Amino acid sequence: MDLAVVWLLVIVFGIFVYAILDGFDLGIGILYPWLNKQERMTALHSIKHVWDGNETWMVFAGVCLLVAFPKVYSQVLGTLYIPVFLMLFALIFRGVVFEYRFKADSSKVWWDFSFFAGSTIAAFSQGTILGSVLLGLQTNSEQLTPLWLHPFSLAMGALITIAYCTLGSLWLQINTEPMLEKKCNRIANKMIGLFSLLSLIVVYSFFGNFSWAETAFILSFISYKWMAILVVGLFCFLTMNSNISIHTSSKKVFLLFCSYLLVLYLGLLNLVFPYIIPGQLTIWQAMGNENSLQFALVGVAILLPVVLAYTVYSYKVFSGKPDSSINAY
Amino acid sequence: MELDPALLSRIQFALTISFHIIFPTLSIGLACYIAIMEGLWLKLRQPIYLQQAKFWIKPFAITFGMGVVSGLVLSYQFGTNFNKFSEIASPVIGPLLNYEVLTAFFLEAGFLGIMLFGWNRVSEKIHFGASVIVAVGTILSAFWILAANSWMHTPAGVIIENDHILVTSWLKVIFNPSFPYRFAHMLIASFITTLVVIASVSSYYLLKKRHQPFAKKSLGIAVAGLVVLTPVQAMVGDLHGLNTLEHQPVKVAAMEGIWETEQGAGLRLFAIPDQAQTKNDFEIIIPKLASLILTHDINGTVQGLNAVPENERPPVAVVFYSFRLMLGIGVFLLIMAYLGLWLAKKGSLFTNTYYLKALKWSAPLGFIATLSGWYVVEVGRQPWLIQGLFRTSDLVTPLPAERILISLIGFVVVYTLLFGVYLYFFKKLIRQGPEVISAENSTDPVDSNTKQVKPA
Repeated sequence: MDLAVVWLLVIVFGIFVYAILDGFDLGIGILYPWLNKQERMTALHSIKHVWDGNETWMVFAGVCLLVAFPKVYSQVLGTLYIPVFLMLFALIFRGVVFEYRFKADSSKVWWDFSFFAGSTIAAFSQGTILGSVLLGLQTNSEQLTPLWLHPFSLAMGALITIAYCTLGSLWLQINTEPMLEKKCNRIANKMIGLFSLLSLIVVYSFFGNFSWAETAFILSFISYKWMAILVVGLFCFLTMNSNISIHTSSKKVFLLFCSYLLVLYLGLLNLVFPYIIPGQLTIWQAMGNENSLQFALVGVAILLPVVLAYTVYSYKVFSGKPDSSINAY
Repeated sequence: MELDPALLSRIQFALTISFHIIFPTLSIGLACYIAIMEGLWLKLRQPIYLQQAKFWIKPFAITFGMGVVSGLVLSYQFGTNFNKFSEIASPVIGPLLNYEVLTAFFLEAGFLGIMLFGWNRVSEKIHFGASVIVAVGTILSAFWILAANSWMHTPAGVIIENDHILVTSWLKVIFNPSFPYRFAHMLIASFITTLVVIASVSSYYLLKKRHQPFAKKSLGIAVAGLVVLTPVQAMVGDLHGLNTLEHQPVKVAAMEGIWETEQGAGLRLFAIPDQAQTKNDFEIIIPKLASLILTHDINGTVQGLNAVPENERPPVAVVFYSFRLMLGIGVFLLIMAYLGLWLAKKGSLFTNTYYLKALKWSAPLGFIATLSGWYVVEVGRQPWLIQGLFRTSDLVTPLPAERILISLIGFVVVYTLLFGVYLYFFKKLIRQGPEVISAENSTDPVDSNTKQVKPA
């Protein structure tokens, strides 16, 4: 199989795992203003042992991009300097919360704010970065507003933020006590509705809006029309399901929502393929050195399954409703 | 004043990496210390070892967390500020970092949760396993990052074809000529730094007359460790220096402040290097010693800075002073270690207040030495980013200076704030002290009845 395609799949996989895993723990930060003091503690406890591993997937995806498509790595990061640093600063501020919040006395308010603001800004920046890439990273000097402040990028920012918020509320619904469970269910329902609506708008704004889309269209497996129908169908299915979720399994809704995200994500990829920066660079043009790609791929092929295995194990160790009697280590 | 984007990017990278390296330096050492203490506890069943492990896990956790968040920045900074570097060097740097993520980051992250929060959820043995894995993860991380870094100093295993790097041998890339020395030097540096911190905290308790059995144990371990490691570090450092002389003689000339190639070069104890005039303004020299140390021959030839064109010389003063600072601290710690051994033999290690006070204030020394060591190495490589192949100034992202200035100011503000917070919580944890662990208060309630605890 084509080396560039294999690596694209690895990166696609890495980004998706990242979006789901860090999605729910960033989402809990975004949810923070809706939670009271006790609930915030419960929420933080439900993710304190996994956030670090979750975030590692972002480093993994980034480094894979560096190996496989160095041109993309350097272009994206160089062009989107400001949102990238905004995201990194935000992730710093929320990351340290896990260590300091439990040990804090007087500064709890600040850590709570840091956790909320950090999570939200990180999620939003990620969305604007994605939006800018989909716009083809095209900057011209006459443009007064930077690419990442383009309406489409901002819409992507909002979309990602809401997606994470949904994942966060669903995660909490699974991993907490009944009181908070109901609250999270209510939030999740609203968020799923909001997300589905916004995702429709974003998909719609794709239609013929971008010059690159026409060239890519030929190579796409599914046309826009089918894509839209698929999204609407899933949207209806999901909204119905989430409404009864308090009586059924919230895990099921979580998985359903993940599959909704997956369909959207694969749909987007399908529209972009074989471009990696739409309209500018195909995966073959951006591909790095073959020898290096092969060498790194051996590692990925052997180690990624191992990583997945112990990740599942460490999730299992802490599965079930949180043990609130253990506050720290 | 016209701002130079290349210089700003370098300052930003220097700042972020200096801030970052403080944390791995301590967390590598602490992870190993904790794993060893837990192992000793499982073997000997003396609660004092469990107490050691459980106490140091807390400072370890905040240190590790800071390392994670500050490291995240670095993994993207190649792309943001040195995007030509990330393109050109990606065939080598990319896979090495990829292996680092797969063998180290995921490993640490996957088992850190169990190590920190799993006391009541997994068995003692699995918990010990998790601690060992986290320690191994930190070392593996250092392995890959130093392989990548060493390669930038002594590139091997590659050929250059139209400005593109092609790898011919991965073994040669990873085990490049300077890698073994650099890796050993850094690992030992982090063990020494950690032991100094442990010794400092123990001294603080002993001076305050708190947690005395705990503090005596850890001070004993720390001093014993330093007695072994400080001379080993001096030897490894010497070997590393010889290796640098072979591959980067200009760097050594800068370290020694030698401008003209000399036979029987003297060791400059102190000097004020003047880059423009290519000479030192004020020198205190021990004749022939530099040649003796570097070439192991009293009349050996040491190449001077003037042997290469002006635009291939590093900023001499930074390298020269940093090297002396590192060396000075190294010597001081070696003396402290043996002084401690001597006091222990006299039976006054735990009671000599002068010694304990000196140790207490020594806590930052290991970090300062490690940082200065890195400045010697990294500034000494300039103007090259990849020694002899690519210049730093050619590989930076062509960004508007204001944009870098904004992020740089952001980093200064955020990192100052974070470092303050880190120190505040570190002190708080130290003030809280270790929890009391008796035979009854075991980690695993299931088999606490069958446990046989020997008196500590």
